[in-house]
Amino acid sequence: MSLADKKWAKLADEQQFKRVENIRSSAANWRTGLIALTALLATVTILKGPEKASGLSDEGRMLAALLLGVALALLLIGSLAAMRAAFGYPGDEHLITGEALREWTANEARTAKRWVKRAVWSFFLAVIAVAGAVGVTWFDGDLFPADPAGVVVVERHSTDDSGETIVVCGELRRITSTSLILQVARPTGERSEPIPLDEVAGVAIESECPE
Amino acid sequence: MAHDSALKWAEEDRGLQTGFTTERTSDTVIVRGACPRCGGETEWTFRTGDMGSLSAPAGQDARPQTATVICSCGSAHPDRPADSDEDGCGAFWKVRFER
Ligand SMILES: [Zn+2]
Ligand SMILES: [Zn+2]
Repeated sequence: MSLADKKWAKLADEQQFKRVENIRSSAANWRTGLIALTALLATVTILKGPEKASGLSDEGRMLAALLLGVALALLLIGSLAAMRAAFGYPGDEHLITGEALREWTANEARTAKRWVKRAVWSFFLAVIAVAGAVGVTWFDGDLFPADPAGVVVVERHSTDDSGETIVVCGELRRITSTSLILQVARPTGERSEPIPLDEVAGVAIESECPE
Repeated sequence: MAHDSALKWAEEDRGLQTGFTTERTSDTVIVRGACPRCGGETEWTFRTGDMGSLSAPAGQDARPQTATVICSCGSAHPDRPADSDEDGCGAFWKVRFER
């Protein structure tokens, strides 16, 4: 180890000429990295436009947005961790000896390895979150089925004596002692339609009105 | 001990040495004394600095330090390699000082 001591001492001695260079390159690297992150944020903000999401259910839209938010946060964390591993932070001022430099270098190697691991995990989890968001948009209908409309289909005896029945369909509003009252969509608009109980031949609950 | 400037250059580890003076300024520590090998007066300066991408070990400045010093007596000792950036006899040793 003795010759190594001398090498480290020389390296430490050279550091005094590199001080400004070290600080500048670290600052420049961080600046470049942060500009790239800003661009990433801008891209995601543009992409989040609501048109794509308008076909989704409320729950699906919320879940997809949440997953994308998590993915974005993980990407940010991962990028920062990667930059920390690559560039380090500007340090404090300390006396630079060969011995201190050797210890610093060993510490930094360990620290950088830890940050690289964090970066990799963040990116990995971010990809999973993005995949989850995409999955939500694909399977939204299965995950969050729309509530059945719950219309009432009434078979009604015709008022003449033909014996035929007609079908009336709409949302049930009220039942009185004499009639069912349905909200029915007619070509002229929605209106409330009472059906006398003695004309009701049958009642069924369906998800939508028959054509 | 007189300076033996005819001594051949050699990378010799002289271990921990005492009898060196240390002078502190706000951002340097200057170690002075006679080289234990060639006897030449040697001055070695440690500077404080940001290690750039390196973070400092905790409490580094609080404890006494042992640091390696290289002979820089200023003589052109024979047999020194042409590409060497040293200006001494090649010897190196450790000194101990408080900050
Ligand atoms: Zn010497
Ligand atoms: Zn000498």
